[in-house]
Amino acid sequence: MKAEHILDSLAELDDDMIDEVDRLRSKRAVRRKWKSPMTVAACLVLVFSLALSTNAVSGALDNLLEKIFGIGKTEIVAEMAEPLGISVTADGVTMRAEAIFSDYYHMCAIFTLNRDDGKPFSERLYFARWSGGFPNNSEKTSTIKYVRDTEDYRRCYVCLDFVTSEPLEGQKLVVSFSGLTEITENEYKTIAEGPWNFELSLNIEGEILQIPTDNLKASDSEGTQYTFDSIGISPLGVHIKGVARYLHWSDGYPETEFMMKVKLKDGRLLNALGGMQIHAENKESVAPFDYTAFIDEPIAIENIEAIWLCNTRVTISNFK
Amino acid sequence: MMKDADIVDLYWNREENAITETSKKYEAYLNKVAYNILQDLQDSQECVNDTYLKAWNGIPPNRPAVLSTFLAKITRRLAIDKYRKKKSQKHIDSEYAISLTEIEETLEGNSSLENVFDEKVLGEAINRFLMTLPNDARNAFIGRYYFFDPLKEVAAYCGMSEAKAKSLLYRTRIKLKEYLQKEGFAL
Repeated sequence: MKAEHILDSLAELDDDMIDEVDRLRSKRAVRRKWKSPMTVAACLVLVFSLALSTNAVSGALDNLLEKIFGIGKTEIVAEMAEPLGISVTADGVTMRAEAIFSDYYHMCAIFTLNRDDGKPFSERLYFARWSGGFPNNSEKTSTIKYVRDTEDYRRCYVCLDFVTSEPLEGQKLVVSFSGLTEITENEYKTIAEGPWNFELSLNIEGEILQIPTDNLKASDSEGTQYTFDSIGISPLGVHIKGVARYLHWSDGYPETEFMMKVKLKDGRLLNALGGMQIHAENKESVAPFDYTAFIDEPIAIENIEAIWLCNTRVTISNFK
Repeated sequence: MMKDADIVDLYWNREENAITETSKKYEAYLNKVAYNILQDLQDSQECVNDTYLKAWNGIPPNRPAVLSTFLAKITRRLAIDKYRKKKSQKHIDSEYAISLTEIEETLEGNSSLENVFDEKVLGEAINRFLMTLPNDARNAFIGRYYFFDPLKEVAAYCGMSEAKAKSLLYRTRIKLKEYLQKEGFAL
């Protein structure tokens, strides 16, 4: 039995049980609507005191990174980050590009959103439309994440991640956001249409660990075998090139189950889930591939004990 | 905002504003269901639009008592299907992908036999299992593996710490594995 079967079968769950959880989910949203006069008063004091500190968070990149990545990761990220400070205001909302950091195949840009009227943002916030990329690099996958500042609800952070199979050197990130939408209980409301447009130069920093690949092989649960030409690991992610054999095709796409994990010296196992590109046109059974992935969280290279490439373990300390 | 029963009546009367009213009330809710699986706003929106079409085709004959649950089931199914199509090209970092890994790590066995089973029968067995659990464990399980909410959110609306939610979910998965084996499912 596959995990998919179990998750699929949950569609048969009793409606009452689902509804009970749904009520819990929405009750939590209601609690965040500032109905209590005491809560409103407390927030106004907080907003006022932070307003006096003149954009304290935006001015301190480390503080901002700490809020997004956590205390333990701030130093790793701060070493790579290039401060920006480019602001665009539209419809009473200021979006400020705070920092950007990148290795050759991964990029993260951090933005701050502030309402000019001083009102708090809803707990859930998103852009109905956004698009972005690198004009000279089409092979990319992106994710967007919204982080509410728990100390100042007027502020929200937007983290934009890209992974690409083509090197980012010399590239610019061109990105446009619009339709800033708040979600409250069972409804959504566009609070500012925008757009907020940015063109940001990349600053490629950080250590890359190249792992020797002599005779290194791995195979996945579909029976596809991989030999590796290069494996590079940075504090952000991995980029791997090689050749895949015994490829299975379904609906015109190769079915691969390549997976990679990173074992840290403190015993934790992190996923490096990302994109596998198979460079084949005619359903060949042997084809070159590249695999680019973010690691679950930024890591210090020296803290890696080993990596798992499907069923193959490679001890990193041997190469250091 | 229109009541669910009134919206369902619009569907039964074949009035096209049924979809507009559904969208007004449930667009954000359904987007969240799809987004947890797909981690892509545009794909999520497509699933939500397809949900309205399926609801239009499914009501009548259905007359759902809780419209949100009825719609969320459709969106969940559509988003999982889309996830599978997309995943054959690229990995997707979503709460669904993380949930799959969690289930794989604890529940997926080493049986080399091709298991033929009815999704409905398995679902009913999981229903029975969930009924045996305390409320907090059941709610956390459904929040995480039905709605694919991030662990942090599940912990928050179940009123517990993230660490407690994580360990409760782990214990529940182990119990479910034992229960399914006892019920004769080959894992």
